[in-house]
Amino acid sequence: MSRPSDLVQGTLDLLLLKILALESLNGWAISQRLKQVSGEVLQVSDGSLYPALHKLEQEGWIAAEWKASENNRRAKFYSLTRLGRRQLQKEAANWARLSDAITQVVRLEEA
Amino acid sequence: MPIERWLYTVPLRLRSLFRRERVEQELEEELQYHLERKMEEYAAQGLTPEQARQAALRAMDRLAQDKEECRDARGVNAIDNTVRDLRYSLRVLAKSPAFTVVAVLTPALAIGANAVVFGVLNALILRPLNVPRPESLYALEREHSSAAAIYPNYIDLRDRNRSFEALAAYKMGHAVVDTGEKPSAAWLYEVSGNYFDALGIRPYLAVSSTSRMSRAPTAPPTSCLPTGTAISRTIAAWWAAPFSSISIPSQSSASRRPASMGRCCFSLPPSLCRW
Repeated sequence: MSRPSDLVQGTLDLLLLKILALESLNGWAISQRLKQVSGEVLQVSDGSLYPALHKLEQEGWIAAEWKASENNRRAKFYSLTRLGRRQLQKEAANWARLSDAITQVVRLEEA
Repeated sequence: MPIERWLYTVPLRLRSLFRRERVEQELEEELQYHLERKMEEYAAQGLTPEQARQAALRAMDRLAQDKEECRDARGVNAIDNTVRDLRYSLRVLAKSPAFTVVAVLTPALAIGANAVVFGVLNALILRPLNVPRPESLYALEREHSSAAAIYPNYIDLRDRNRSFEALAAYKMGHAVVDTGEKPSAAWLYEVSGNYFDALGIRPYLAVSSTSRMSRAPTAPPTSCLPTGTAISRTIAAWWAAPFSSISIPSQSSASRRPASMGRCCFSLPPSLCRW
């Protein structure tokens, strides 16, 4: 299991928002989906996932709803709100800016 | 934008506060679901149910702490802690009343003193005068000789004034007020007849006519007005005597007025001019 520091700091919110923008999911499914789409590179520890989800919910960016899960058990499903969509755009743009900048620095060639 | 946010967040906070058990139960259920799925995953990898359970619990590292962090995220802990702290401090304060009294009185006195100082400063300096266009009001003083600021000089200044809308004179003075009961000292303003017109205000009690108040420079002055509400109704009643068209707040105090009283005179010419 990865520790939270395995994720670039501050990107967990962005990842969660993006995943939930595609589909409403429960906590377990979110962690599975994150692993899948990142080719097992990105893993979020269970210890950081739920506090992060609850924080996003309190911010009003995602909303929770109890529904039957894929194996027909009751589970808490999270979905993106309108505010969350706006926040996702903001954080995605921020990430693009940051990663571009870092890439440029990393690609500097030695003289 | 913030309002839209409140639409989401306020009901959530209220729910966390007032339906706490339900929220806690949901948190428990949510984590339990995760744990079960995890166990299934391990079981699928060939672990025995008990091994799977142990592994899942390990992987869920710090389940209890997760819950605590979730509560933190909901912002309930902050409120809980505050309430607990408040209760504790009240208990401690109740135990040592002397300390409590000092602790309460110190800031109370400090706040009181500050409020008084500010109140005075505000009334005297910060607040604009309660007249129309107070910013267009100027005071004119003779720098050295007060002898030069005599009434005829004021009349000259007033009659040749081309720079200002109006020119009025005033002077503070003392008077003895005899209401027929106990004579007492009072402050008064001696003013020129155009005083109210220049300031753009109307006297509370008397509507005085300019022509009646200002006469030739040598004529005896005929008018002045009581200052401040502290001088009270008896003076107002006494003062109102020479004017026929005055309404007096209390008839009883007016009727006690001796018949011989009626005019307040100022003995000195105004030493200050005011636009």
